[in-house]
Amino acid sequence: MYYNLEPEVAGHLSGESIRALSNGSHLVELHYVMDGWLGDDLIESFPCFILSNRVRVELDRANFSGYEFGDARVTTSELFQELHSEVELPAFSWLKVTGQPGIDDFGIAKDRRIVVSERALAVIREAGQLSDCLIEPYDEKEQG
Amino acid sequence: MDRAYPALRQMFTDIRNLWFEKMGRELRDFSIELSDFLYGLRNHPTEKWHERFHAFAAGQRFQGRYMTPESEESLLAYISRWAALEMTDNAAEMPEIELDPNAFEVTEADRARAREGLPWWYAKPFELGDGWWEEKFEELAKVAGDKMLATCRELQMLGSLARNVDQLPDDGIDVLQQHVDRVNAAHDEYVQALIDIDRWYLSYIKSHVWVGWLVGNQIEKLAGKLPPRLFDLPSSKLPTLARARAELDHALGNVVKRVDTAYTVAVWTDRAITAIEIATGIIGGIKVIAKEVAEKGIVIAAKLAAKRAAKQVAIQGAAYIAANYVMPQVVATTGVRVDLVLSGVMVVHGIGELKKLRSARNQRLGFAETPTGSGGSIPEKKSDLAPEAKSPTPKAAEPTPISITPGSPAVSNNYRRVFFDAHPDLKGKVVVHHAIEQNVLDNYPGRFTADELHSLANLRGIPKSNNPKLHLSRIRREWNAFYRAFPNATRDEIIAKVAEIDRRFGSQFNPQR
Repeated sequence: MYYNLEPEVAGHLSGESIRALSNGSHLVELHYVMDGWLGDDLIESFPCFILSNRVRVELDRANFSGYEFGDARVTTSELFQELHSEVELPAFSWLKVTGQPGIDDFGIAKDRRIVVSERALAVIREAGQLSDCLIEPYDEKEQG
Repeated sequence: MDRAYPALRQMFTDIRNLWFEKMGRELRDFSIELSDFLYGLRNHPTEKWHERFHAFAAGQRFQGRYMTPESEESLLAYISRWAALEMTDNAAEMPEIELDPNAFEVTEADRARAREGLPWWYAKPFELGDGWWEEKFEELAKVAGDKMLATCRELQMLGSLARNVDQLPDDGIDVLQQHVDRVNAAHDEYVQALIDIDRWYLSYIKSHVWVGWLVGNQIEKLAGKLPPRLFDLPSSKLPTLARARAELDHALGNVVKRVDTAYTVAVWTDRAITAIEIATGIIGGIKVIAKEVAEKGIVIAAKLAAKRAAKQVAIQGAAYIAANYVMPQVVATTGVRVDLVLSGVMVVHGIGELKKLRSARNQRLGFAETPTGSGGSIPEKKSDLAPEAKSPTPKAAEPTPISITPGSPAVSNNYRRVFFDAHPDLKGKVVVHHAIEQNVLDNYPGRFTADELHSLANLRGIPKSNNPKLHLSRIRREWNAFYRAFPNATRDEIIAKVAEIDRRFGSQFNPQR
């Protein structure tokens, strides 16, 4: 069983990230700018995902397939400071999804949503929070 | 239509000041309902159609449908032709035709007399070699028929798209425009096929003493089956067709002059009467022509009759021909759906209005029109952009350094200052965010400038007392889904997304949207 996830969108990629993307064929540095955070551990800003390090540890222990981690630079915007002055952000890593949807534990569907296995989803939920993440069963046929 | 016209005008007047957010879908729905209404008139012409029209108009007003003043005349003209032709089917409501009081009445005795005394050799002329020409015209007619069908199929596809326009980005205007272009291209080919027929017919005339009976009949039938314009669709080739037809008319006149006098009397008497019958059958009587038959000679009279009949048909509009000749033959043989074709026709005639409405909406939102017109397709992808190829416009060619990280707060301070300068009473009460996210500058290079994004038109306030964290999170999710679905979104698509978000969340904003 696999699931489509639409994680919380807590901010955006900075222009620096995008310029890095433009210069090469892939993103070499991820700079995520937080505008607001409702507390989830898996966060998206298309086309990138970041995952809190506390969940990252558990994923690494479980030895899942279809992903790798990279460094992520996370900063906060003025809006974030205005709204979440009391919030202390955890450390995040860049979750690079490399697997096939419906085959690996992590994959990207044709509609560009992240797809995770039931087992991986359970670990993320166990280790962190996904309360603002939309979750629905992954249907390979619907993906065409 | 005298009663319908002011009512339609009133409807458009009433609604043109209303807010027009869902313009594409509204016009689509309006077109569908208008088609249903007009077909209702056709199917039940004896009912009190004006009362039904008022009910229809009230229904449209109730649903907040409107047109801009500029669009009013063109669409009304189109609608009025439709409505007019519906009513001509109903003899009881046919308008009176002003006749010459001295008009000569063609009686049965006149007709009998005209047919009497034909010489034994009065026979329908056959020309040697006409068989080859018949085949040629059949071949040309088949080509034109195929082109007509192709046009109808494109219209059908367009109508089908129009009915699902709410599933397309930016009310589907750009997608519809692409298919309108396909319809027009198909129609161009059809008109070209008509030009080919006329030119071959001209060749035939120039090489013959008279028009053979079989070929003449064949051409007449083709004229009925292949109208010069399908549904009043535009075509750049129409002037060429008009020139070809003028040459043809001139050549036909010369053929008549060469025909033997006795033969002319016999044949053209029949043709004059036939023409009168045709004319009276179509418009309720062009009786004055009979006087000209007596005074000016049969040949001229026949030509005049034909011209007047043609003129009357033209007045009624190509829609009449299309509805009465084109659609039955197309539908009967191909199963093309009439309702979808008519929806497509409405879109072709309304696409300009859609664009006007979009322009008005963009102005209301405070955005300039896309320089490339329909929104253009800007091919860059996030994944393969080269820095020097980022921008399609000179203004945006220079990458605007923009960041909302604390490290470079100058720009962000500016946008907040812009907002609070305009709404000083809201200072400290709302958080300010960009309707079009700043992310758009990087995700879609060249669509917008930083100045546009930081302008007042693009700034929204969310009351701090109204859980702005949650609302902003939902808005970010909306944009993220948009980035995922439209990696190459056009400027207009982005503006449409703003309008959609304003519609959904605008009641939470201060000022409200």
